Amino acid sequence: MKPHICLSSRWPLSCLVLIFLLLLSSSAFSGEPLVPGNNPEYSLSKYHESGKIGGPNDDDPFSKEIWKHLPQVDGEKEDAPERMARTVNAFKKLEKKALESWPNPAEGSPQKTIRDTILKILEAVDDQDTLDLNSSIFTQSTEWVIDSEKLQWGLLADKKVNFVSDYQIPEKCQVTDSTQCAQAFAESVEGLRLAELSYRCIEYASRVHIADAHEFFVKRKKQRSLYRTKTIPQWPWEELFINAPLYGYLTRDEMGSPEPLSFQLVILHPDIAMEYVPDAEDGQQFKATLMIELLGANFWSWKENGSMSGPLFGLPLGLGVVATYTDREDIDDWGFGGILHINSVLNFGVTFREEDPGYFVSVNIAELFNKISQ
Amino acid sequence: MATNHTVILLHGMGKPDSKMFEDWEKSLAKLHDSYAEPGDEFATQFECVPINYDSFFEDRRNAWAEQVQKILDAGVALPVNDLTVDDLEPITEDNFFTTHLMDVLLYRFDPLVADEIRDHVAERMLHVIRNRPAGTKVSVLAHSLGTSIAHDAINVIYHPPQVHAKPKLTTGNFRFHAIIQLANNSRALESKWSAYNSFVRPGIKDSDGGQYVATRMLSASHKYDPLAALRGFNPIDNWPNAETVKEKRMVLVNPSIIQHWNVHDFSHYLNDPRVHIPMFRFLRTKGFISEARETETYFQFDSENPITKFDDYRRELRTLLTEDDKFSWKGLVEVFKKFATLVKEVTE
Repeated sequence: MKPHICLSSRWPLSCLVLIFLLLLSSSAFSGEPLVPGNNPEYSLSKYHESGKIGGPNDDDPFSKEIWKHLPQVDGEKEDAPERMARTVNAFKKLEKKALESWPNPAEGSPQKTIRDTILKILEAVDDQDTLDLNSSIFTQSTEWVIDSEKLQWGLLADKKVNFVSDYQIPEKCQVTDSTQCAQAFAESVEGLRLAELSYRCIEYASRVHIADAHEFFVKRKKQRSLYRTKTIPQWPWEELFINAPLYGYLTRDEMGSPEPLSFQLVILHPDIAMEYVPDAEDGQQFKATLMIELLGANFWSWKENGSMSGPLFGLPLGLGVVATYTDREDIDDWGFGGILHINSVLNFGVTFREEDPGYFVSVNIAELFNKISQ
Repeated sequence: MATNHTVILLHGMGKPDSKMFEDWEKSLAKLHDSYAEPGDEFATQFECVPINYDSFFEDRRNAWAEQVQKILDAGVALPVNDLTVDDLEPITEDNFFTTHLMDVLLYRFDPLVADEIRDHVAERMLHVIRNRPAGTKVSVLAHSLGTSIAHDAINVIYHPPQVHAKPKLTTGNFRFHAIIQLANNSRALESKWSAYNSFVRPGIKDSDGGQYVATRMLSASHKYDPLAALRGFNPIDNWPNAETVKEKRMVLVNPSIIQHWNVHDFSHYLNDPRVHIPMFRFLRTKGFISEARETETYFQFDSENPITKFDDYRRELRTLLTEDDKFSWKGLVEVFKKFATLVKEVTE
C-alpha cells in the first residue's frame, strides 16, 4: 500500500489502517498502541498519568531499557556508586536517543528544547561519571516534574516544552482521525517519553535526600520509643502537667522534630517496693510497701545513632526524695528518705522513721521475690 | 501492570483496625470504577498504604491502667481506702471519651504524644516514597484527626531540626501529588504551624519563594458536621495564591446533603459526589469524569437524598455548629459529647 493513496479520499479505510501500522511500527509492535482517540489532549494526559509514557507501564522498548537502570535494589543505599553509575548510563542513553532522533532539530522547536535539556543534564556529569546533584540545573529548576494536566516540562528557566501546544495538538487534531493528528500525537508522545524518562532518572539519582530524611525519622522514632519505654514510666499527671509542658516549652522554637529531652522529672510518683526495716517487729521487717517519690529527676544522654547513654558508666541515673507507706505495728507507717535510679529499672534507697532506718528496692525485684515466695 | 500512584491513608479518631482500611479501599475502588473505563480500574492505577497511629494513644492508656493495676495487685496497704479496679474504668473501658475525645485532646495538648505520632507518620510516609519506583506519585487521603496529623507530619518532613547537618529535603526533591483532607481539623488543632501559613499548601512553582508540598489540595468540611465546623479550614478566596486558584489546584468543598446520621463519618464524605468527583479528578486527571457525568451523578445523588429526609436532625445539628470567634476548648469538649449523644440517640 503506497502512502500517497491516502491523499485520495477514495481509500479512507486504507489510510486508517496505514496510520495504525505506522503507530504500531513506531512502538516496535509492542503493547497497546497509544492513539489520540476522540480527545487527543485527554488521551495524552491519561496515558501519562497511567505511567504509559516514560513510566513503569510504558511498553516502548527504549523506555524499558532505561527502566532497567532504575531498579529498587534491596539493601542498596541511595548514595551508592553503583546506583549513580546506572543513572549516568541511563542519561547517556537518553542523550544518544535524543541525538539520533533529532540530529538537526529546528530552532525553537520542542525537540530542540528537549535535546538541549538532556545535553545540559549531561554537563552535570563529572570526570568520575558522577551526576552533580548540586548543579544549578537541578537546584534552580522548578518544573522538572511533568504534571499530567499541564503536560509541561522545563528544567531550564528559559526553555520549556508544552506537549500539547508546542506540538500543535489542538490545531492538527481538529479532525482527530487525520494523519497529521496521528503524527503530531506520536511526536508529542516521543518527546514526552524522553522528558518523563529524564525526570525519572533525576528523581532516582536524587533519592539520597529522601533517604537522609527517612533515616533521620527512623532515628527520631527510636529515640521517642526509648524515651517512652526505657525511662521511668510516667503517671498521667507527670506527663500531662509536668514533663509534656516542659518539653513543649523547651522545644517551642524548633519547627522541625525536636530531640526528646535528656531528662525527666518525677513528681508524686507511686510505685511498689520491698522495704526492710530492721527495727520493726519480727515478721514485719521485710514487707511490700507503697513508695511515693515526692520529687526527683532522671538523667541520660542521646548518642548519635539515637540510642541512650548516661552519666553512670553509660547508664541513666536519677535521684529523688521518697516517702514509703507500710502498715507495721509499733512503728510509724510513713518513712521519708532518698532514692537512686539506675538505668531507670533498678531503684533503691533508704528511709527513716524517726531514727529507724529502712532500706528498699524497686518492685521489679520484689515481684520476683513474690513469685518465689508463692 | 504496576501502579503509578500510591495513596497514603490516615484514619481519624477512634480505634481503627485493618478491616476499616480495607473498607476504605473497597469504597474508593467502587466509586472510582463506576466512572472508569474497562481496563482503567482503581486497582490498576492505585496502591493504598494505610498508616495507623492509634497505638500511641492506646499504649499510654494501657500503660497507665497497668501501673494502677500493679499497685492494687501488690496488696499493699494504701493511705486511700477502698480503691478498687472499678475505679479504673474511666480510663480502661472503651467509651467515646477514651477512644475518641481523648485522642484529640492528647494530640493537641500533649506534645510528647503529638511529636511521637508526627515522627511515626513522617517516617512511614518517607518509607513509602523511598521504596517506590522512581517518580511514583504519592498522595495523602486523611480524615478528621488524621487531617491535622497529616498536616503536621508533612510540615515536619520539610522542616529538619536546626542542628540537622545534612541538606534538607525540599519540595524540589519531592512533592506530594495531592493532599485530600476530609472533615478537615487541621486548623482546629493547629499548634506550632498555622494551617493557613504552613508549607502544606498546593502549587506548582517555587519561583515566588514559597514552598508548596503538593500540586493539588482538597479540603472538605460538611456544612452540618459539628466536628469539622470547629474552627474550620476556611482560607480566604485566593489562598494560597492567585495562580494556584486560577489553575483550580485548591478546592474547598462544603457539602450540605445529609445521607445518614453520622455526618462526620468517612463514608459520609466519600459517598457525596461533590467530594469524590473533584477528589478523583485530582487523583487522576480533569477529564476522568466528564461534566455531563458529573451533572448526572449530582442529580441522582440529590434524588436519593432529598433535603426533607433529615430535617429535624439538621435542626439539631445546627445548634452544635460553633462560630469561629466563639471557639473554646471547653466548647469543643461539649460539642463532641453532644454530637456523640445525638448520634447514639437517633441510631438506637
